[in-house]
Amino acid sequence: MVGKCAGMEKEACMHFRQYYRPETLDEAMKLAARRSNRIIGGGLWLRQSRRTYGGVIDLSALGLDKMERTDDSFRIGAMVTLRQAETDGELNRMTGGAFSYMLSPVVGVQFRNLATIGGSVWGRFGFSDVLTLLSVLGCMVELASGKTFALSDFIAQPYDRDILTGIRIPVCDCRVACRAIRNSATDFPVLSVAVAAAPDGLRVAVGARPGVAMMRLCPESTPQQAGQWAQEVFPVGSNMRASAEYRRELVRVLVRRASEEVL
Amino acid sequence: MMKVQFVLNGKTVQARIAPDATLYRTLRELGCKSVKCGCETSSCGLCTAIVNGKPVLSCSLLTARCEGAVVETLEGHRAEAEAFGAFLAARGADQCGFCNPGFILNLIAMQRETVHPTRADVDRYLAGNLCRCSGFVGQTDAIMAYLESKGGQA
Repeated sequence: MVGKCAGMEKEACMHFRQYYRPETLDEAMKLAARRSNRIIGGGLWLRQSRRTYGGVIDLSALGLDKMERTDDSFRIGAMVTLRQAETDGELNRMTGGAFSYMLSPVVGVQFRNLATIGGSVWGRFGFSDVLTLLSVLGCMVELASGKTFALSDFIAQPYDRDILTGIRIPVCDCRVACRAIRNSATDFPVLSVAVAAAPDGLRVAVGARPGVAMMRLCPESTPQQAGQWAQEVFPVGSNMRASAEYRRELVRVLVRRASEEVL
Repeated sequence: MMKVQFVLNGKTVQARIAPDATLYRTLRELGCKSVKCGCETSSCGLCTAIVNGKPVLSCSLLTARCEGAVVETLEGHRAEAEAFGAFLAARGADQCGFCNPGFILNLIAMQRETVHPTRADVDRYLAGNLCRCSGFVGQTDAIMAYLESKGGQA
């Protein structure tokens, strides 16, 4: 069976003239160096963009869709899907089910089978539940150029032509808990919170402020105090989902509730 | 234009596509009209197709990425569609039926992943299938009755 020329009529989505599927990172880096090219991860925002690019670089043939556990770390490849991370037994055992809790409300299964961890991190999206959770796990971001960054440093970097290859989570004896509030199931969160009782103290991250997730070390020792502290420390704003005033209250309550699980 | 080859509902197909063609568009060009596009935000589930055993949003997947893949649409599951459709009709569970193909395909995918799914499992797994003329209760009732009729298995 031979089909007709699919796509002859232009769809309302991102357009490009060339599709590249490199099989080595070197090849991908060379393609990424061209300013007219664009890297795609899961491709979930194709329909929201009306821009035209010279080409897109598909990273799906680079073997970046694997998770590897070593003695001291857990590496998540950039093309690992949210669904893979959500359902991975070892990753969830290490984090007390935090990945399953945080990722399972993200849109639907079909979405999470496409969306990638690398795309979520690279995008530095304010609404990202992934970034909120990863922010308390002491992650390192690994790039094809060989550079590595602490996640918080990476988030602050401007976008460049490098390629994110994976996230490395150090294995540590820390307890993790998450909370998120949505106006309706499958929507972006109004606010998301992750806390981790780690050797360096109580790590608290707040995402969907609506700005990108921020992490701070909490000096307080009780859940009540941690909530009050977080309310003062994390800046929040308003958008179509909630007002700054509402978010400020949520920060206090959600940080307290999450802290109650780990302190 | 570029060529792509994949297995669609058990048959090997080839198509000439634009590099930026989405699987949703290609499937419709290949005659799979059950695949629809309902939103612009990758969130409604109307365009659900099963690719390499996993349900995905075909509106957000490049056809070029499907080279060598195994793709399933509702056209390849007519018996299940008819059987499930009867359960929907018996409960007056939908009105326009536009969302049914996505629901059914995701239901098939869920049955492959989940042994004896509970109502809560169904709610969670099908959260990404939106219906705009019902309240989901009738559909979930129909799904549970359908699963029960099959002993909870595909």
